[in-house]
Amino acid sequence: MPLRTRQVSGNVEWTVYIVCMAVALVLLLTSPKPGVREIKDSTADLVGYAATPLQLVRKVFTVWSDFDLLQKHALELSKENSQLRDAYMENQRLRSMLSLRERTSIGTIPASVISAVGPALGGQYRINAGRAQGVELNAAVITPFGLVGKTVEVTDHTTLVQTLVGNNYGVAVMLERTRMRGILRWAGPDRWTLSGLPTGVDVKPGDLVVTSGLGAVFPMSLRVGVVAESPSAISTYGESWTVQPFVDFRTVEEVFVVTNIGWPDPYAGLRDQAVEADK
Amino acid sequence: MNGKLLVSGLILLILQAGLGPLLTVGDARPSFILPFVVYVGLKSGPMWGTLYGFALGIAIDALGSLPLGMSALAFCTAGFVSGKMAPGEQFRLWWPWTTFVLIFAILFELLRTLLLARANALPFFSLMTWGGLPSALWTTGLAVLWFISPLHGREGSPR
Repeated sequence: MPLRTRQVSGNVEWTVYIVCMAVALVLLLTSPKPGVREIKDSTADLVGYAATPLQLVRKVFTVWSDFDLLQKHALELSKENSQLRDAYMENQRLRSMLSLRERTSIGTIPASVISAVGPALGGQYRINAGRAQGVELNAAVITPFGLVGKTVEVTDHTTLVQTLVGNNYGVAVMLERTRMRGILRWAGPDRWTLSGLPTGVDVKPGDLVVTSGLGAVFPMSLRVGVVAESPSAISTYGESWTVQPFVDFRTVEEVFVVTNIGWPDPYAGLRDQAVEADK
Repeated sequence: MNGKLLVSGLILLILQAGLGPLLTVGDARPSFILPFVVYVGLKSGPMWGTLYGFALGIAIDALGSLPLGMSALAFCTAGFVSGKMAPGEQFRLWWPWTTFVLIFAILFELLRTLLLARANALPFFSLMTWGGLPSALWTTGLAVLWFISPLHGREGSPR
């Protein structure tokens, strides 16, 4: 048989078969006889089972691209989350600073810590405000939580702040409840002592320690910390109590430099007398 | 269309309807139509196998209790595949004759038993073991008997 004739013959055979199959299937599936419905259900189940491995294979191929996509997405979200967390923390700090400015009558200059000297202890900070912003030498430096330290070196645009960490100076403080005065000093890593209190004075753990204003550096009533425990030492000079400052000196980022305290000029009278004598 | 084949088909249809129940042994019931359709497919080609299978299948379904179309589906497939799978083969006892009849008889019984089991909520494997497979073997046995009997003309030539 020629090739062309054979091809036509093959097509006719297939056509006849497909038509017959289709008619038989239609007749079978529309048959009201019992069992046909079940056969249909079984066929659907069978097709479902047969399709399951194919779906699994498809999933295996798509899971890799999904994984890459999700990984990238997770990385972006993690980065965004970190930025948002930083922004939230900054927002909290700025809010509390704003609140502090509103509730205190003293003048303040806001500044950010640009470097820290001795970061392990939090001993000194360099802040981004200086003489040009109105910062003066020996000015108190505070945060919304409490006293940080004082300025020890002022340039035009930066200032070095000495915190309460270190033996450079003592702070004239008093107990807010009893108004009993003493000196606060650094006594080693994470340890401050309140000394100079008379023996047997009324002090309780938890008493608030604030500045007394007697040192002519820190204005009165700045929060410093709380009395932490029973007297650590009793000597002929009085009792020493451990104090826990409110500020964590290792984590400070924004501060206020106190200005315009309005200290009385100790030489004002002498100056007046000199002026009168000149006259 | 071969008139001899058409007459043979009609006779087998009548025999199936009348003689089939008498030849039933237990649950095993032979089919005369299936070997005939395979024979037509092998001898006359897939198209005639398909057409004979379809027509005789519809007739059997109409006469019997099976859903219309079920036997037609099985027989036209048997006729078509027989014609396609063994083109130009020598018409021998074991290949392709007995082999094809056995395979299609088993497939037909599978389909029939599945339908029966589903319709009556009966166990499929039990029905297939005690009814389906014996029926397929019975049908194949009859086909072998026909082949070796004088009724078969021993043509032995390819179509």
